[in-house]
Amino acid sequence: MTDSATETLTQPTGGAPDGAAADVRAQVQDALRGLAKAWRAHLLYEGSSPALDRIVEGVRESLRRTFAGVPFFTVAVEERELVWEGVSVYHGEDTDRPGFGGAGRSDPARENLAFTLYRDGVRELSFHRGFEREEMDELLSLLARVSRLRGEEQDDLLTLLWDRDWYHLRYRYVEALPEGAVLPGASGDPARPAEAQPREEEVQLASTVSPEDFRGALYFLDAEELRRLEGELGREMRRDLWTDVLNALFDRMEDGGALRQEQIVGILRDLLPILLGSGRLDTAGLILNELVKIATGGRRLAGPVMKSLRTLFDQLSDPATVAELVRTVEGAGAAVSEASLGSLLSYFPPEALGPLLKAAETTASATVRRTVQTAAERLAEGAREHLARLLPDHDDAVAAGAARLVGRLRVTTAAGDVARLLRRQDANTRLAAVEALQELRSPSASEALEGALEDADARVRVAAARALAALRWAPAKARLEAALDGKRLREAELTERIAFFEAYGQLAGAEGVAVLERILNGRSWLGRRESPEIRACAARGLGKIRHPAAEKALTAAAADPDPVVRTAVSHALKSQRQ
Amino acid sequence: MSDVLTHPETQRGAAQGSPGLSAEDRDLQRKGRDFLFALAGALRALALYPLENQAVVDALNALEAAALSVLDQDDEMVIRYVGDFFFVNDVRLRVDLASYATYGQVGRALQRHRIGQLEVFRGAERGEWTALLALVNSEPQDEEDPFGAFFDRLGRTAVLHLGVGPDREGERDPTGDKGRQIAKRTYAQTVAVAREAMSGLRMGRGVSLRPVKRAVQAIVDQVLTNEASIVGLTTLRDYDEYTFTHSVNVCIFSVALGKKLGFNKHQLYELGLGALLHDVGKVRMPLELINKAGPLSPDEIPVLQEHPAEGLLSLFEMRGLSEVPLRAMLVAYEHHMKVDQTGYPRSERRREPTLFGRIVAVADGFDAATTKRSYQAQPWPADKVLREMRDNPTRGFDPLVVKAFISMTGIYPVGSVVILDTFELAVVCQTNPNPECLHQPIVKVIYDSLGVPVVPPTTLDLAEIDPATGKPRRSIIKTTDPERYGINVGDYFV
Repeated sequence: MTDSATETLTQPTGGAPDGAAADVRAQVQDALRGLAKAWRAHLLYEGSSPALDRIVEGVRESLRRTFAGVPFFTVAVEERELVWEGVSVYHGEDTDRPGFGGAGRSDPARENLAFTLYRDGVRELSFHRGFEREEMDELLSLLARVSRLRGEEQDDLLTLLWDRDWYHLRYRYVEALPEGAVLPGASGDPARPAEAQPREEEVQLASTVSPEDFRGALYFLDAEELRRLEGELGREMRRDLWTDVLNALFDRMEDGGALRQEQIVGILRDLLPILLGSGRLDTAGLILNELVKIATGGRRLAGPVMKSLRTLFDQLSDPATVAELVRTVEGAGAAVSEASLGSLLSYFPPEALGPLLKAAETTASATVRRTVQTAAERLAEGAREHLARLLPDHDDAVAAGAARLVGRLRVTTAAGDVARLLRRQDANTRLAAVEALQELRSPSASEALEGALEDADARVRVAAARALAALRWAPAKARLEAALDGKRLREAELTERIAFFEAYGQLAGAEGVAVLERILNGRSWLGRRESPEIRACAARGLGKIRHPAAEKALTAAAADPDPVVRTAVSHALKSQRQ
Repeated sequence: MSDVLTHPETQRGAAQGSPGLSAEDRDLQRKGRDFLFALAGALRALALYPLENQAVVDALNALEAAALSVLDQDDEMVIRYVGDFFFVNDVRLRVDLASYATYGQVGRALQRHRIGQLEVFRGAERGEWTALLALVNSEPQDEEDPFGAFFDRLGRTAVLHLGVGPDREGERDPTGDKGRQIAKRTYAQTVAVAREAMSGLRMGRGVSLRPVKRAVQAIVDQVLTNEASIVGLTTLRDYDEYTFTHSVNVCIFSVALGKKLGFNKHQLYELGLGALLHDVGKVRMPLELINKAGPLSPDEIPVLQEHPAEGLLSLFEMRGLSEVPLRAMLVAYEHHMKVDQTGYPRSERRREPTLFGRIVAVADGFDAATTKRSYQAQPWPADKVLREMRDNPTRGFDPLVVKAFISMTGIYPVGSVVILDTFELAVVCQTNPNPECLHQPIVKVIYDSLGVPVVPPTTLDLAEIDPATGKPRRSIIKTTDPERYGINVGDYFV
């Protein structure tokens, strides 16, 4: 900091008349405290919340009131406080300091605006009328951005301030540049006598160059050249610089010695998380693709380099790596395509499949699950044996994911392992097994599904009933028929009842009409009918049977006084006729 | 501490993009631009045709309409010309590739009379406009006080609704000393930063990029507000400090060229950062090779040619950026590549050198060729370097960038030592702002025809016409080697 700084800081600013100074001070104090509060709220709510909006509007109003009295005000930034005309108008709390040392993030509610500004070199701020309208939001975002990015990697506040043209905000700062640097190369004595005389020099006209030499280059660029340059600049700013930089690294890796190769592998290893973290999966994929090409190409890489490469690829299968990748996909949302992720994962070793399946099973987002599952499927296509080995995995999520994939890829040899999953404690795993068994379409798979009709979890039972119906597994008819009269189904939720009745109708066909008609239209020896819901389910079951007897049974109930039954019958008849 | 990081005169209205402007100000920017284009058209038409010519009538119609359009929005219009920028009612006009030449033309027309401000009030009539514009087109009447003379002449005409004000830059800092001091400080600090960063990397220390960024920002600020002073300092030559002064010079030339090409502030920063660090790979070269006097041996050449690739790798080791400095990396990597992809390093994969890399290649080639350094005991004259860069395709420079560079430096770049037809010896201190007079720079006469020092040096505009002969008062007959006269050119810029 130079002396001129302190001089400036003590100058009265703002132009308020003496009598109004107290009022202005109160307003400035109010505005700055509000600004600090808004900044903390920005951090707390990550830039978006109705509460933040309310606070920001409050500061805007406060600044508006201040600027009604003065066109601008200037505050000196000190380490712990902001000072207006020699008076402290904002003072942070003393407990917030440790959070700024880079050791970790402090509680946003306790951060000190003055220290944040001071630490980055800002020593004075002038707020001018209009700031509240056009630039306050920008400044708050910028301060929040600086506070979120701690450590050496952050963009410093001064760069962010410099990068933008402010119209209503001015700032002064201390230089990060060396003071007292001396200009190189000047002798300091320009007025020595000349060591020769120009007349003595051989002078020929145009002995060096003449304006005519440059006629072609003079003067301004023409319109076409300007257009070309403008187009080039536009392209330059949209250009994918990553590919250019990476291609340079690959070129040099190919023609460099072992040391350079190892250095480049190190750089690429460091870049991968950066690229993945920013959602640049295609670029990360490019790295892996080129590394594979180089490693398997004609040029022999030195032993330590190959070892580094192997370590790099091994790291990709680490559960933590995959979990981070899924987190990236979750964060990026629709910005990450299935194709990009799939392409990237094609370079992952089969060992990555387990963590990937676990991630797909545990993610909260249906879109992410679909994206990850699709990508995992591509990876598993070339690693079916490895996939089957994941079925007995003690981690239920991995086993469930593997089961689903085994089903989709129709790895029929794994049916036994899938069926064994029906004995797991975790209902989700059993459900996944049922879905997989349905896909496998083998007799042993269907037999296993029959057992699932008795599962403790309703979702599993429903899935099993539907699967058996879809597979038209007739041997399950008896077990379903027994269930129709059972107490459990009468106490079950409607979904399960419908699933069982429809499955029975589908599997039993004409043979099942009698049972279902009895339930729909029959009465007990006391003259009682089944409940309307059970009768409606029976109607749904009859609807699955395309037989005149089923139609007749349904028609008999078409005018039933109970609306639930009448509606179900009507739907069933309609579905039969379609 | 920075005195004017946010230059008070450049507060309202960004040079580029103007993201923070209100809709009203953006509208004013557009109308202001239309007005300046109309003003340029009217000045040109009046200079070429008689008043009754249809082209003049159309141009004046357009001018009046453009002025009224601004006055519809604001009650009066004040056009200020500060540095290289125009402000309309305090809103700075965006300079881009589609406007910089026209703005420059109007700026130079006003600057000849040291006019810094033009005021337009409601009710300005056709006759008032023609009177004012005719005066602007006329030759300045008083070399000592051109504005005063203009003001007097305007006062004798029937102009009531148009006013002019003096160039406030001149008033604020009549000798330009403050501007030069800031430029000198910026230059010295940037050399120190470059030295610190490169030495740190050579020693294997972690180097923070923060001071480097700050230095580049200061260079960009200087080029935007005080270009002549900072470009003048590129003439400083220090054999021992070559690596660092060269990096700073390349940075200044690149940023100045970027400005000429309409780059915005952020683009200038990225260009400057790449330029300042373009030779960073040399920190990985053996010092004895870098400092070797005389030509390199065939074995040494390939070693030195590794420095662009090493530069790319070195930049991965710098700390202090939230993002990987990709552009700077590519500049470091590509600055010895030729447009036909020859040169070095060799590319196996598809590559089209970046525009930033091609700009820095030109700036680098120019500064290196005109400087005495290891491997080059005798620097080339600047004008010959420019011609070689332009005419010799095997050098591999982008012809369009070279052309733009020449239009920035002029045929005789700043720092060239020239012999005038009076046999006086002069140093070029500024490119002529009139693009049609690139061969007639502003010079400082430092020795008379007998070799006697002129103290203080006399500043001359070589485009100045002698009314008696209708020809320039003085002309350059050749450039010469300053060493022959024992001249340290840098002395005239500090």
